Amino acid sequence: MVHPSDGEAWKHFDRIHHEKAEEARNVRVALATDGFNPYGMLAAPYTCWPVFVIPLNLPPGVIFQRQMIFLSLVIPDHPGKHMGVFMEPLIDDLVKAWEEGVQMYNRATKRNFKMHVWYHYSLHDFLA
Amino acid sequence: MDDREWMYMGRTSQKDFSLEWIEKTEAFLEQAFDRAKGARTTWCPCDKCANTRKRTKEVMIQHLCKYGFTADYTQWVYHGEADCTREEVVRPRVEGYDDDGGVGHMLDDYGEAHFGEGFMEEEPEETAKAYYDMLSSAQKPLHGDTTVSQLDAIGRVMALKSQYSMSREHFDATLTIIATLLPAGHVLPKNMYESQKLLCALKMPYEKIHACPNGCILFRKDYENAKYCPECGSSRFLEVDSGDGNKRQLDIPVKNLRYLPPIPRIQRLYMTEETAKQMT
Repeated sequence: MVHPSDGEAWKHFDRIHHEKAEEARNVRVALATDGFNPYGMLAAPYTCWPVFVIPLNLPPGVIFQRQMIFLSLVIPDHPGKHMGVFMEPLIDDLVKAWEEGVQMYNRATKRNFKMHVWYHYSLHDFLA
Repeated sequence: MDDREWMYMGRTSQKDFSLEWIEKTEAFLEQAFDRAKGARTTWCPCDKCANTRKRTKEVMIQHLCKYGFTADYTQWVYHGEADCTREEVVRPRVEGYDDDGGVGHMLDDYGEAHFGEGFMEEEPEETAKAYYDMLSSAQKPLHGDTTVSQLDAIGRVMALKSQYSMSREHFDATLTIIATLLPAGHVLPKNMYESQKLLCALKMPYEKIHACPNGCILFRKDYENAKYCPECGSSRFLEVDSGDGNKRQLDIPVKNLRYLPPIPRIQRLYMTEETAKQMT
Protein backbone atom coordinates (compact mmCIF):
# COMPACT_ATOMS: atom_id res chain seq x y z
CA MET A 1 0.00 0.00 0.00
CA VAL A 2 1.68 3.17 -1.18
CA HIS A 3 -1.21 5.59 -0.91
CA PRO A 4 -4.43 5.84 1.13
CA SER A 5 -6.38 5.30 -2.12
CA ASP A 6 -5.30 1.67 -2.04
CA GLY A 7 -7.08 1.26 1.27
CA GLU A 8 -10.48 -0.30 1.79
CA ALA A 9 -11.89 2.89 3.34
CA TRP A 10 -11.24 4.82 0.15
CA LYS A 11 -12.94 2.21 -2.02
CA HIS A 12 -15.86 1.96 0.35
CA PHE A 13 -16.42 5.68 0.11
CA ASP A 14 -16.33 5.48 -3.67
CA ARG A 15 -19.18 3.00 -3.51
CA ILE A 16 -21.49 4.91 -1.20
CA HIS A 17 -20.86 8.45 -2.50
CA HIS A 18 -20.45 7.56 -6.09
CA GLU A 19 -21.20 11.01 -7.47
CA LYS A 20 -18.79 13.02 -5.42
CA ALA A 21 -16.06 10.43 -5.58
CA GLU A 22 -16.09 10.48 -9.36
CA GLU A 23 -15.01 14.09 -9.54
CA ALA A 24 -11.26 13.77 -9.14
CA ARG A 25 -10.86 17.36 -8.07
CA ASN A 26 -12.84 16.88 -4.89
CA VAL A 27 -10.56 16.69 -1.95
CA ARG A 28 -10.36 14.06 0.72
CA VAL A 29 -8.67 15.14 3.87
CA ALA A 30 -7.24 13.32 6.82
CA LEU A 31 -6.95 14.83 10.27
CA ALA A 32 -4.12 14.17 12.64
CA THR A 33 -3.56 15.40 16.15
CA ASP A 34 -1.44 14.76 19.17
CA GLY A 35 -0.38 16.70 22.23
CA PHE A 36 3.07 18.16 22.48
CA ASN A 37 5.04 20.40 24.77
CA PRO A 38 6.91 23.19 23.04
CA TYR A 39 9.15 23.59 26.10
CA GLY A 40 10.19 20.04 26.78
CA MET A 41 8.36 16.96 27.95
CA LEU A 42 7.84 18.07 31.52
CA ALA A 43 6.53 21.55 30.90
CA ALA A 44 2.92 20.45 31.35
CA PRO A 45 1.36 23.94 31.58
CA TYR A 46 2.40 24.63 28.01
CA THR A 47 0.90 21.53 26.46
CA CYS A 48 -0.89 22.21 23.24
CA TRP A 49 -2.65 20.09 20.68
CA PRO A 50 -2.07 21.01 17.07
CA VAL A 51 -4.55 19.58 14.58
CA PHE A 52 -3.33 18.94 11.07
CA VAL A 53 -5.28 18.66 7.85
CA ILE A 54 -3.75 16.56 5.10
CA PRO A 55 -5.25 16.61 1.59
CA LEU A 56 -5.11 13.03 0.38
CA ASN A 57 -5.41 13.80 -3.32
CA LEU A 58 -1.73 14.33 -3.75
CA PRO A 59 0.44 11.65 -5.31
CA PRO A 60 2.32 9.26 -3.01
CA GLY A 61 5.69 11.06 -3.11
CA VAL A 62 4.22 14.41 -2.20
CA ILE A 63 1.37 13.60 0.13
CA PHE A 64 3.21 13.52 3.42
CA GLN A 65 5.73 16.21 2.64
CA ARG A 66 5.90 18.85 5.29
CA GLN A 67 4.69 21.74 3.14
CA MET A 68 1.58 19.84 2.11
CA ILE A 69 0.35 19.22 5.64
CA PHE A 70 -1.65 22.14 6.94
CA LEU A 71 -1.70 23.14 10.53
CA SER A 72 -5.30 23.97 11.18
CA LEU A 73 -5.89 24.37 14.90
CA VAL A 74 -3.71 25.04 17.88
CA ILE A 75 -5.60 23.98 20.97
CA PRO A 76 -4.12 25.38 24.14
CA ASP A 77 -3.85 22.97 27.03
CA HIS A 78 -4.99 19.37 27.05
CA PRO A 79 -8.48 19.27 25.51
CA GLY A 80 -9.37 15.94 27.12
CA LYS A 81 -13.01 15.02 26.55
CA HIS A 82 -13.74 18.49 25.15
CA MET A 83 -11.89 17.79 21.92
CA GLY A 84 -15.16 18.15 20.00
CA VAL A 85 -15.68 21.67 21.29
CA PHE A 86 -12.33 22.82 20.05
CA MET A 87 -12.73 21.09 16.70
CA GLU A 88 -15.99 22.98 16.07
CA PRO A 89 -14.70 25.68 13.71
CA LEU A 90 -12.83 23.14 11.61
CA ILE A 91 -15.74 20.72 11.49
CA ASP A 92 -18.14 23.54 10.57
CA ASP A 93 -15.96 24.46 7.63
CA LEU A 94 -15.60 20.89 6.50
CA VAL A 95 -19.33 20.24 6.75
CA LYS A 96 -20.02 23.36 4.70
CA ALA A 97 -17.47 22.33 2.11
CA TRP A 98 -19.07 18.89 1.93
CA GLU A 99 -22.64 20.06 1.60
CA GLU A 100 -22.37 23.22 -0.45
CA GLY A 101 -18.94 23.02 -1.97
CA VAL A 102 -16.48 25.87 -2.42
CA GLN A 103 -15.76 27.85 -5.56
CA MET A 104 -12.25 27.11 -6.71
CA TYR A 105 -10.02 28.18 -9.52
CA ASN A 106 -7.84 25.56 -11.09
CA ARG A 107 -4.65 27.02 -12.43
CA ALA A 108 -3.69 23.99 -14.46
CA THR A 109 -6.88 23.94 -16.52
CA LYS A 110 -7.75 27.61 -15.96
CA ARG A 111 -11.32 26.81 -14.97
CA ASN A 112 -13.43 27.53 -11.96
CA PHE A 113 -15.11 24.61 -10.32
CA LYS A 114 -17.03 23.73 -7.21
CA MET A 115 -15.01 21.67 -4.84
CA HIS A 116 -16.38 19.35 -2.20
CA VAL A 117 -14.25 18.30 0.68
CA TRP A 118 -14.74 15.36 2.92
CA TYR A 119 -13.12 13.94 5.93
CA HIS A 120 -11.58 10.64 5.11
CA TYR A 121 -10.07 9.45 8.35
CA SER A 122 -7.84 10.61 11.12
CA LEU A 123 -4.51 9.57 12.49
CA HIS A 124 -4.20 9.57 16.23
CA ASP A 125 -2.17 8.31 19.05
CA PHE A 126 -4.79 7.08 21.47
CA LEU A 127 -4.02 5.95 24.95
CA ALA A 128 -3.62 2.22 25.15
CA MET B 1 19.29 69.20 15.36
CA ASP B 2 21.59 71.58 17.17
CA ASP B 3 24.52 70.21 19.05
CA ARG B 4 23.58 69.16 22.57
CA GLU B 5 27.07 68.60 23.93
CA TRP B 6 26.63 71.54 26.30
CA MET B 7 24.23 69.47 28.38
CA TYR B 8 27.06 67.38 29.73
CA MET B 9 30.11 69.58 29.04
CA GLY B 10 28.77 72.71 30.70
CA ARG B 11 28.22 71.20 34.13
CA THR B 12 31.15 69.46 35.78
CA SER B 13 30.03 69.39 39.38
CA GLN B 14 27.19 70.53 41.63
CA LYS B 15 28.63 74.04 41.89
CA ASP B 16 30.38 74.50 38.59
CA PHE B 17 28.20 75.42 35.60
CA SER B 18 29.20 77.35 32.53
CA LEU B 19 27.21 80.40 31.49
CA GLU B 20 26.19 78.56 28.35
CA TRP B 21 24.77 75.66 30.41
CA ILE B 22 22.64 78.02 32.49
CA GLU B 23 21.30 79.86 29.47
CA LYS B 24 20.54 76.78 27.46
CA THR B 25 19.04 74.92 30.38
CA GLU B 26 16.71 77.84 30.94
CA ALA B 27 15.76 77.80 27.30
CA PHE B 28 15.15 74.06 27.56
CA LEU B 29 12.86 74.53 30.55
CA GLU B 30 10.94 77.26 28.74
CA GLN B 31 10.45 75.02 25.77
CA ALA B 32 9.57 71.98 27.85
CA PHE B 33 6.85 73.75 29.83
CA ASP B 34 5.67 75.50 26.70
CA ARG B 35 5.03 72.18 25.08
CA ALA B 36 3.52 70.69 28.23
CA LYS B 37 0.44 72.74 27.24
CA GLY B 38 -0.31 74.48 30.49
CA ALA B 39 0.45 71.56 32.79
CA ARG B 40 2.34 72.54 35.94
CA THR B 41 4.54 69.48 35.90
CA THR B 42 6.37 67.56 33.23
CA TRP B 43 8.95 64.78 33.01
CA CYS B 44 12.13 65.63 34.87
CA PRO B 45 15.24 64.89 32.78
CA CYS B 46 17.68 64.98 35.72
CA ASP B 47 20.01 62.07 36.35
CA LYS B 48 17.97 60.91 39.34
CA CYS B 49 14.47 61.02 37.89
CA ALA B 50 15.58 60.09 34.34
CA ASN B 51 12.26 61.11 32.79
CA THR B 52 10.26 58.77 34.97
CA ARG B 53 8.75 61.37 37.33
CA LYS B 54 6.89 64.58 36.74
CA ARG B 55 8.15 67.72 38.50
CA THR B 56 7.30 71.40 38.63
CA LYS B 57 9.65 73.88 37.03
CA GLU B 58 11.15 74.97 40.36
CA VAL B 59 11.92 71.45 41.50
CA MET B 60 13.32 70.61 38.09
CA ILE B 61 15.77 73.52 38.24
CA GLN B 62 17.03 72.30 41.61
CA HIS B 63 17.33 68.75 40.31
CA LEU B 64 19.20 69.76 37.17
CA CYS B 65 21.68 71.83 39.15
CA LYS B 66 22.15 69.08 41.69
CA TYR B 67 22.22 65.98 39.49
CA GLY B 68 22.68 67.25 35.94
CA PHE B 69 20.97 65.81 32.88
CA THR B 70 20.42 62.10 32.62
CA ALA B 71 22.90 60.35 30.34
CA ASP B 72 22.41 60.35 26.57
CA TYR B 73 19.34 62.52 26.61
CA THR B 74 20.22 64.61 23.58
CA GLN B 75 16.96 63.89 21.78
CA TRP B 76 14.33 65.51 23.97
CA VAL B 77 11.62 63.00 23.20
CA TYR B 78 9.90 63.52 26.54
CA HIS B 79 9.73 67.23 25.97
CA GLY B 80 8.02 67.65 22.66
CA GLU B 81 10.72 66.53 20.25
CA ALA B 82 9.68 63.78 17.91
CA ASP B 83 11.85 60.71 17.91
CA CYS B 84 12.86 61.12 14.30
CA THR B 85 16.35 59.65 14.09
CA ARG B 86 15.09 56.59 12.30
CA GLU B 87 12.96 58.62 9.94
CA GLU B 88 16.02 60.62 8.92
CA VAL B 89 18.02 57.58 8.01
CA VAL B 90 15.14 56.12 6.16
CA ARG B 91 13.97 59.16 4.31
CA PRO B 92 16.47 59.29 1.41
CA ARG B 93 15.04 56.07 0.13
CA VAL B 94 11.48 57.25 0.07
CA GLU B 95 12.33 59.67 -2.73
CA GLY B 96 13.02 56.78 -5.05
CA TYR B 97 9.60 55.42 -4.32
CA ASP B 98 7.23 56.03 -7.18
CA ASP B 99 3.59 56.32 -6.19
CA ASP B 100 2.07 53.86 -8.52
CA GLY B 101 5.03 52.59 -10.49
CA GLY B 102 2.78 51.73 -13.41
CA VAL B 103 1.17 48.90 -11.50
CA GLY B 104 -2.07 49.64 -13.28
CA HIS B 105 -0.56 49.02 -16.69
CA MET B 106 1.24 46.03 -15.42
CA LEU B 107 -1.99 44.51 -14.17
CA ASP B 108 -3.62 44.99 -17.53
CA ASP B 109 -0.67 43.36 -19.27
CA TYR B 110 -0.69 40.53 -16.83
CA GLY B 111 -4.39 40.03 -17.27
CA GLU B 112 -4.04 39.92 -21.03
CA ALA B 113 -1.08 37.63 -20.95
CA HIS B 114 -2.46 35.13 -18.48
CA PHE B 115 -6.21 35.24 -18.52
CA GLY B 116 -6.81 36.24 -22.09
CA GLU B 117 -5.33 33.24 -23.87
CA GLY B 118 -8.13 31.77 -25.88
CA PHE B 119 -11.83 31.99 -25.13
CA MET B 120 -12.09 28.68 -23.30
CA GLU B 121 -10.64 29.98 -20.08
CA GLU B 122 -12.63 31.47 -17.27
CA GLU B 123 -11.80 34.38 -15.06
CA PRO B 124 -10.56 33.10 -11.76
CA GLU B 125 -13.02 33.46 -8.90
CA GLU B 126 -12.65 36.33 -6.51
CA THR B 127 -10.15 35.18 -3.92
CA ALA B 128 -7.94 33.66 -6.56
CA LYS B 129 -8.06 36.84 -8.56
CA ALA B 130 -7.02 38.96 -5.59
CA TYR B 131 -4.10 36.66 -5.08
CA TYR B 132 -2.93 36.81 -8.67
CA ASP B 133 -3.36 40.56 -8.73
CA MET B 134 -1.18 40.87 -5.72
CA LEU B 135 1.42 38.58 -7.23
CA SER B 136 1.55 40.50 -10.46
CA SER B 137 1.80 43.85 -8.76
CA ALA B 138 4.77 42.67 -6.77
CA GLN B 139 6.50 41.25 -9.82
CA LYS B 140 8.11 44.56 -10.64
CA PRO B 141 11.89 44.37 -10.48
CA LEU B 142 13.58 45.71 -7.39
CA HIS B 143 15.51 48.25 -9.44
CA GLY B 144 16.52 48.87 -13.03
CA ASP B 145 19.36 46.36 -13.43
CA THR B 146 18.09 43.21 -11.82
CA THR B 147 15.69 40.37 -12.40
CA VAL B 148 14.95 39.97 -8.71
CA SER B 149 11.39 41.06 -8.07
CA GLN B 150 10.23 43.16 -5.17
CA LEU B 151 8.29 40.28 -3.69
CA ASP B 152 11.25 37.96 -3.96
CA ALA B 153 13.50 40.44 -2.21
CA ILE B 154 11.13 40.96 0.72
CA GLY B 155 10.58 37.25 0.96
CA ARG B 156 14.28 36.60 1.39
CA VAL B 157 14.79 39.25 4.05
CA MET B 158 11.66 38.12 5.88
CA ALA B 159 12.91 34.54 5.82
CA LEU B 160 16.13 35.70 7.47
CA LYS B 161 14.13 37.56 10.04
CA SER B 162 12.23 34.50 11.11
CA GLN B 163 15.23 32.20 10.89
CA TYR B 164 17.33 34.26 13.28
CA SER B 165 14.43 35.82 15.20
CA MET B 166 15.47 39.35 14.36
CA SER B 167 13.79 42.06 16.33
CA ARG B 168 11.67 44.55 14.52
CA GLU B 169 14.22 47.29 14.90
CA HIS B 170 16.99 45.02 13.74
CA PHE B 171 14.92 44.21 10.68
CA ASP B 172 14.27 47.87 9.90
CA ALA B 173 17.95 48.68 10.30
CA THR B 174 18.95 45.81 8.02
CA LEU B 175 16.51 47.03 5.38
CA THR B 176 17.95 50.50 5.66
CA ILE B 177 21.46 49.21 5.06
CA ILE B 178 20.42 47.09 2.11
CA ALA B 179 18.61 50.09 0.72
CA THR B 180 21.70 52.26 0.83
CA LEU B 181 23.54 49.62 -1.20
CA LEU B 182 20.89 49.56 -3.90
CA PRO B 183 20.88 52.00 -6.80
CA ALA B 184 18.46 54.91 -6.72
CA GLY B 185 14.91 54.19 -7.79
CA HIS B 186 14.61 50.81 -6.14
CA VAL B 187 11.37 49.65 -4.60
CA LEU B 188 12.51 47.83 -1.50
CA PRO B 189 10.04 48.67 1.28
CA LYS B 190 11.54 50.91 3.90
CA ASN B 191 10.45 49.08 7.00
CA MET B 192 8.72 46.10 8.46
CA TYR B 193 5.30 47.70 8.29
CA GLU B 194 5.49 48.28 4.57
CA SER B 195 6.85 44.84 3.84
CA GLN B 196 4.02 43.29 5.76
CA LYS B 197 1.53 45.39 3.88
CA LEU B 198 2.90 43.99 0.62
CA LEU B 199 2.94 40.46 1.89
CA CYS B 200 -0.48 40.47 3.52
CA ALA B 201 -2.21 39.13 0.41
CA LEU B 202 0.18 36.21 0.46
CA LYS B 203 -0.50 35.37 4.04
CA MET B 204 -3.16 32.92 4.98
CA PRO B 205 -5.82 34.31 7.26
CA TYR B 206 -6.22 32.86 10.70
CA GLU B 207 -8.60 33.45 13.56
CA LYS B 208 -8.23 33.56 17.26
CA ILE B 209 -11.25 32.17 19.03
CA HIS B 210 -11.64 32.63 22.74
CA ALA B 211 -12.48 29.46 24.61
CA CYS B 212 -13.93 28.64 28.01
CA PRO B 213 -11.03 27.78 30.32
CA ASN B 214 -12.71 24.49 31.18
CA GLY B 215 -13.30 23.68 27.53
CA CYS B 216 -17.13 23.73 27.69
CA ILE B 217 -17.74 26.04 24.75
CA LEU B 218 -16.05 28.38 22.30
CA PHE B 219 -17.04 32.02 22.31
CA ARG B 220 -18.32 32.08 18.76
CA LYS B 221 -21.69 32.21 17.03
CA ASP B 222 -24.32 32.49 19.81
CA TYR B 223 -21.78 33.18 22.51
CA GLU B 224 -19.76 35.68 20.55
CA ASN B 225 -20.37 38.51 23.02
CA ALA B 226 -20.75 36.48 26.20
CA LYS B 227 -18.42 37.35 29.01
CA TYR B 228 -18.88 34.25 31.10
CA CYS B 229 -19.19 30.63 30.04
CA PRO B 230 -22.93 29.77 29.94
CA GLU B 231 -22.20 26.20 31.09
CA CYS B 232 -19.74 26.50 33.94
CA GLY B 233 -19.83 30.25 34.59
CA SER B 234 -16.09 30.78 34.44
CA SER B 235 -14.80 34.05 33.09
CA ARG B 236 -13.81 34.48 29.48
CA PHE B 237 -11.19 37.10 30.35
CA LEU B 238 -8.54 37.40 33.00
CA GLU B 239 -9.88 38.91 36.19
CA VAL B 240 -8.23 41.25 38.64
CA ASP B 241 -9.33 42.73 41.95
CA SER B 242 -10.88 46.12 41.34
CA GLY B 243 -10.21 47.19 44.93
CA ASP B 244 -13.76 47.15 46.25
CA GLY B 245 -13.87 43.40 46.70
CA ASN B 246 -15.32 42.76 43.28
CA LYS B 247 -13.54 41.42 40.26
CA ARG B 248 -12.95 43.36 37.10
CA GLN B 249 -12.45 41.72 33.72
CA LEU B 250 -9.47 42.71 31.64
CA ASP B 251 -9.63 42.29 27.91
CA ILE B 252 -7.11 39.47 27.89
CA PRO B 253 -8.74 36.12 27.15
CA VAL B 254 -7.97 33.22 29.46
CA LYS B 255 -7.80 30.68 26.67
CA ASN B 256 -7.23 31.33 23.03
CA LEU B 257 -7.82 28.79 20.30
CA ARG B 258 -6.05 29.46 17.04
CA TYR B 259 -7.88 28.35 13.94
CA LEU B 260 -6.23 28.33 10.53
CA PRO B 261 -8.97 27.53 8.02
CA PRO B 262 -7.83 24.67 5.74
CA ILE B 263 -10.17 25.46 2.84
CA PRO B 264 -8.30 28.58 1.64
CA ARG B 265 -5.12 26.56 1.89
CA ILE B 266 -6.50 23.86 -0.35
CA GLN B 267 -7.66 26.64 -2.68
CA ARG B 268 -4.09 27.85 -2.76
CA LEU B 269 -2.94 24.38 -3.78
CA TYR B 270 -5.21 24.60 -6.82
CA MET B 271 -4.00 28.08 -7.61
CA THR B 272 -0.47 26.93 -8.21
CA GLU B 273 -0.09 25.11 -11.46
CA GLU B 274 2.23 22.41 -10.25
CA THR B 275 0.20 21.32 -7.26
CA ALA B 276 -3.05 21.75 -9.16
CA LYS B 277 -1.90 19.05 -11.57
CA GLN B 278 -0.89 16.82 -8.71
CA MET B 279 -4.19 17.23 -6.95
CA THR B 280 -6.25 15.58 -9.67
